[in-house]
Amino acid sequence: MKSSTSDFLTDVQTVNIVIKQIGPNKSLPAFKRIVERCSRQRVIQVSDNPRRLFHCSFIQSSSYTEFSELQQHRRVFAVIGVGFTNGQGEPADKSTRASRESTDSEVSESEQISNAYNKLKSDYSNIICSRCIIIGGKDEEFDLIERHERLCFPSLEDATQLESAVRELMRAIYIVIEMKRVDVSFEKKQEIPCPILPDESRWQVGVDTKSTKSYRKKCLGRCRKQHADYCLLTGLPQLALEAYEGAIESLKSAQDHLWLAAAYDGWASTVCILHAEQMGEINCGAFHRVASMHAMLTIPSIEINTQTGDSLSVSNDSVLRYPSGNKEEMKLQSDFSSPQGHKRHHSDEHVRVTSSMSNGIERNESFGNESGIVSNGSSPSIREEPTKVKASKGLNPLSNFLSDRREKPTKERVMENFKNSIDEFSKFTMAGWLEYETVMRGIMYLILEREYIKLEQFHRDYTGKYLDDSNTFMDHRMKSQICLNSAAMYREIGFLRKQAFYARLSVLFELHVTEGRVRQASDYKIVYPVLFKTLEGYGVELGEPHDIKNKKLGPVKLQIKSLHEIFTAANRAGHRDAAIRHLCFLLQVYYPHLDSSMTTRLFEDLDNLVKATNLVHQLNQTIVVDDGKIIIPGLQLTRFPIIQSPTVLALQSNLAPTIVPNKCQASIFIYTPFAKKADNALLWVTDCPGEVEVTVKNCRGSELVVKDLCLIVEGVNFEPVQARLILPPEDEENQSGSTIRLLGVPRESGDLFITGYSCNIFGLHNECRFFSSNGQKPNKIRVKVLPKLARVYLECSLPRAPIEEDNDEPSAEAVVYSGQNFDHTITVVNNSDIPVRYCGVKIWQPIVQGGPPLICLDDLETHSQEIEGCETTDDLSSFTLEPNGSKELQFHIFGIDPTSTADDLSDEEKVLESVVPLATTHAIPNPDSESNDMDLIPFTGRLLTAEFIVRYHSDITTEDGNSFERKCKLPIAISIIPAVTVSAWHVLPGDSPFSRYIVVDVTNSTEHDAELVYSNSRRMYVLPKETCRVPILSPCCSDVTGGAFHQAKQRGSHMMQKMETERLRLILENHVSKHLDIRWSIPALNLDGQVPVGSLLSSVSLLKQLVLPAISLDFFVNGKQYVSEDDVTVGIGQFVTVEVSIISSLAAEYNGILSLECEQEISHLLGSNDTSSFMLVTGAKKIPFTVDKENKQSATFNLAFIVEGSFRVRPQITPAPGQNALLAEDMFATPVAFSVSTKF
Amino acid sequence: MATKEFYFAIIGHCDQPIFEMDFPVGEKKTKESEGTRHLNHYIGHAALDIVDEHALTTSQMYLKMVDKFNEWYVSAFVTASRIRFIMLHTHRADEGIKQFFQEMYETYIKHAMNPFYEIDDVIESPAFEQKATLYGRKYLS
Repeated sequence: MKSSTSDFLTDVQTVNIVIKQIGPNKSLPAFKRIVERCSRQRVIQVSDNPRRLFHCSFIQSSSYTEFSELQQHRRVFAVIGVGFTNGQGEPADKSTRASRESTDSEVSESEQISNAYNKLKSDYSNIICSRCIIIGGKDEEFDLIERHERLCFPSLEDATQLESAVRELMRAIYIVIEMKRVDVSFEKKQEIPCPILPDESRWQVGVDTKSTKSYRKKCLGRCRKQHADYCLLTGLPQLALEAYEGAIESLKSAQDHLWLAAAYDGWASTVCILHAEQMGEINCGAFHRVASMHAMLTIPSIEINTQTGDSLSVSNDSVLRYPSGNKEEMKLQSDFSSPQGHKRHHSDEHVRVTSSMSNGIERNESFGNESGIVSNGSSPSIREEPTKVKASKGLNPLSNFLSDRREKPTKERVMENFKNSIDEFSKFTMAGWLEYETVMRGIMYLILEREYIKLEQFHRDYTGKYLDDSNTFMDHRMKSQICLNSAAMYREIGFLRKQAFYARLSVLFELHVTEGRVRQASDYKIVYPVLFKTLEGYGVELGEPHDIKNKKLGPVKLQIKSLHEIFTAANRAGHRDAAIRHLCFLLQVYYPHLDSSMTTRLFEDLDNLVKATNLVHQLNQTIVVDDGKIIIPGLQLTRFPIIQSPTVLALQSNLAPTIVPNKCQASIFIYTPFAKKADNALLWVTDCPGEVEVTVKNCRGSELVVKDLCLIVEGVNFEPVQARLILPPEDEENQSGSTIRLLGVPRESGDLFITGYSCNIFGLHNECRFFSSNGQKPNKIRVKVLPKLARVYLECSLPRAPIEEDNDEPSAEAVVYSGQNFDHTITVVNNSDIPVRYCGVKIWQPIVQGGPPLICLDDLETHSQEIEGCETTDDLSSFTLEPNGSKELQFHIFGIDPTSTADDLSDEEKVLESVVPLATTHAIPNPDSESNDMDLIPFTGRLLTAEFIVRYHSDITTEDGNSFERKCKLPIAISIIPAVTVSAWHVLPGDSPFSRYIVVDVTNSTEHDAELVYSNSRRMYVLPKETCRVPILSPCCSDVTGGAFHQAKQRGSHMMQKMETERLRLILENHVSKHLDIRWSIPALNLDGQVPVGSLLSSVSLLKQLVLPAISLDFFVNGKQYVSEDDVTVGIGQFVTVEVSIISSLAAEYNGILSLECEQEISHLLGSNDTSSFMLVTGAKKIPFTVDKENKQSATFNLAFIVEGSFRVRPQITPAPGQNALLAEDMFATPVAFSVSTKF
Repeated sequence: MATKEFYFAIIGHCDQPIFEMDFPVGEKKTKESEGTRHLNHYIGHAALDIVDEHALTTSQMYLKMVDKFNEWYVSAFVTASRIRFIMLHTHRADEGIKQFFQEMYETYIKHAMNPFYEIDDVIESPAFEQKATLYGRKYLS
């Protein structure tokens, strides 16, 4: 089998030496090494000037030796026997060993080797020379072998002289052939010996008459042919060319077709060899081309030109380094050029080469000189050829006899001679293979010429007939071989698609079943590598990570078919792992293109293959098949299941650390946004499970079981947690897949890189990388892992009540009656072996505008030593914790009126302010201004939540001084059961202008009687579900001036207004809360508490009314102070004296005019109308006054009513010019009610 | 083979067939014809090497007969954008094939100008198929 097309060419100048193992002991590895060492010596230089190379080939079997007279390169010139003595080799088999033991006494080992060697020599009777290499034997033991033929070595390692001995053998053969070459006596002889083939007489038609001229020419032609062969074998191709021409001349006229065919072939092949020597290196790089048109389009034209330029730069040195025909070196050269990628040589390149070659010499004529040195621009070329030929005549004795009128070997003539040869050979059926070899040499010539189109046509025209069914001379194996050779040839010229086609064809021939024969695993072992190499031709790249969204796959149908064929071949050849790999590749890449029946079948096949053995196939590992000739790269099975969008999740809020930078270290930046990025986003902690969220999708129509799914990471020690998934079949609803979390525990600190995942799918171990969203770059997620930190949790004996579904933090629940106090403890526990150097406690709870807070720590003053760089100001309490230590904190819960929290802004359940308007006063808030009020009332709710928040710093500091903070929380749900609550309130004037009654409607929501204690010792009972009104006398607050709230509303911004209002409210709250102490007790339930008045205290509109107004008016009727709302009864026309005392709380002096107005109330709804005309005032109707904080003034009016009815007399103050008008809220006055009747 | 058979394929830049059609049109798809279609794929794909080689050495779009395997001849046409038209045929009909290629080239250009069509995508237009059928009837009979 030829591994390269050039072998067909190099064969004609190569001497065959058969090398075989002999003797009772065999060692194939050692024998292979010997053959390899011999093969390294296959070329020797036998002459310097001209430089002549002698080629030998060390083969283990010879073929077509019956044609060795016709073509000397088929002849076996020498044999080498390789024997191993006992200890160096193993007996061939047990029977041999047994027989050897039994016959040891009779025939010694050395004798056996000697006999085998002699037999080998006798098998090849025409050999010139022979050698016997004996490993492990002593020289004197092998007397039966000629001394000069023995090569005894103690061991293979000690056989240092092996190479020189082989070279010596080659020289010996050379000398014999050279002697034959110089012997041209046949030219002068009258009776020329006629070389004949062994069976020539059988197929020769007629009888030769030896006396005829024709017979003489035939003999002469044949001798010349042989002479030419010798020239070629001894490294003189130029002379061989001349000799072949002479032979053709003679044989043509003698009509000796077979020998003429051989002579034509010899001539053309010699031209080829000369040409190859000349082109040598150029061609080595020329066989690479693009595989597809697409890639070709992307090659800039300049690159092609450059390549052309490069190809011309051939130096003599490089040719000497890489002599033509040296396959390994040629391969090496081609391998060198392949990574440059997509180099391509045009079929018309030779035209440009010709034109660019110097001196305008026709390239086809420059076939190099005798020494085989390449003729480039500077070397001797065709112009010097006549001189050269003359000079070489001394070497060529035959040249004297040959005509000088030889035709120059043009390209056309070379091809013509190849064709002539093929035509002549075709006349002889038994020379079919010889004909085929000639075809391949012709093809090789076209390769050298880069005539790829002509090559393809030539190949098609001449090889087609061998593959035809009518060709019975060749069996299917030979046809397979022909196809393989074609494939190799197409591969060399870069026609990968053609190569794939012929390789596949060769497989079809190879697997052709003749009658009575069944295909064996060995057949598939042969075809598997061939099929594997076709993948490239079909555009299948096994090595590249496959993107499942890739649309540009190439010829999908062909790829599927070829991959399935490869899978079948691998499976039947027994390459289980390779079969699984190919099958998985097929499913991974082409799943959407497979029909359902095929998919089912493939999955069944996969299942069967997996079940066949207990060994788990590793998809990520490279598989080596066929002694390393085939390497199948690892595969990432990303389609089953599709796992995408990895997102690293931060740790749970109670475990998530934050890096607290060391504030002592002065930063060079005053402010930089980069410095702010303290990498707090993705922080994991050693020994703390981290999570990565991924989307998992099953694209199969059936359920998919994924086992051992876990993360693959780099960087630090990591313990992934394996998951098992059962994914439902894909349907229209489940298009987006499901989201799952993959867990793992980092075991050391440092930078962790999450690179991918591994799983067991279909019984296979699969490892995949995460890819970025565009599928191009591998997605490597970096997570910083902090050292192990302390873990603190809060413990509370209150029952557990989860508040949120996805929160698995501990939580507690408490039930209190409104106004009740509930004392309890909470324990802060450090359950790690790392000390906590700072632990700060905070409470998050509903903001209460008035009254005590919901939760309050008892020991607020406890504070540990401050830690640098740690914000401790907000913490209610702070302390340190020892490893596994704990700290108990006491707290109490106060059952606030749930309506008084600032968090719940529901509008529906407002507790309304008193519906009883203070109609008799001017202090009634204006309904229009109510909406803009800063009131904080509208709260409701029964279930309140609060949270204990503990921040703690582990006693670990990094090198750069940073520390790590964690938080833990304990949410508490507090449900407040209403007991005795405030349902409404209103403010009434008190017993003097400086006091007010706060009338509170208290509701008993319980089922039992409640006792109220207020204003020190006053008691009152409230029936169940009843409301009672509790009047509480409260003095006005003189700390807040009358217009303070109005001034607060004039502030520049809403926030400033709010803040000022709040400040005023707090002053008033402090003032009022002292008087609003209403305690309740329910004896039946043995409960007591405080009526929560938070809602009152947060009501700005209420508190506002307790502000001492700017002007207060006190009435005296008939010298008696008017204190209540009781009507003063008078008769019609009866005069009453009303004295008004004007009191000011203003620091500045206030001037104004006081007058009285009368109004009659019609109804609650319709209000009142002005009835000043019914009131008769005698004396001064308007009295001017001047008051300040120190001085009050009185004004007396005498009035009488002229109409019967109920009237109200209210004062009216008109400010003096220059004075500000008084607002309604600035003046407090109780109207005086008169009941006028006719009778008195 | 008694009847003239044609297999026409448009090959994209990644060697993928983007349009395929058998002539004469309308014959029932038997298992045998499916097999032939498969063989056609292989022959057509193998011929692409020669087509590419021809395309580099000639400025002509129509490359005449470029390959042959068994009874199948392969003719080719390479567009300016290097889209390759391949015709596998059992009988020589150079002139008809040439005209068919020309017409299909025009049809293809019109189709490629559709802003919704991306080069190298499979052609699924019924109008294109109809045109191909029409020209097939006209020139390949």
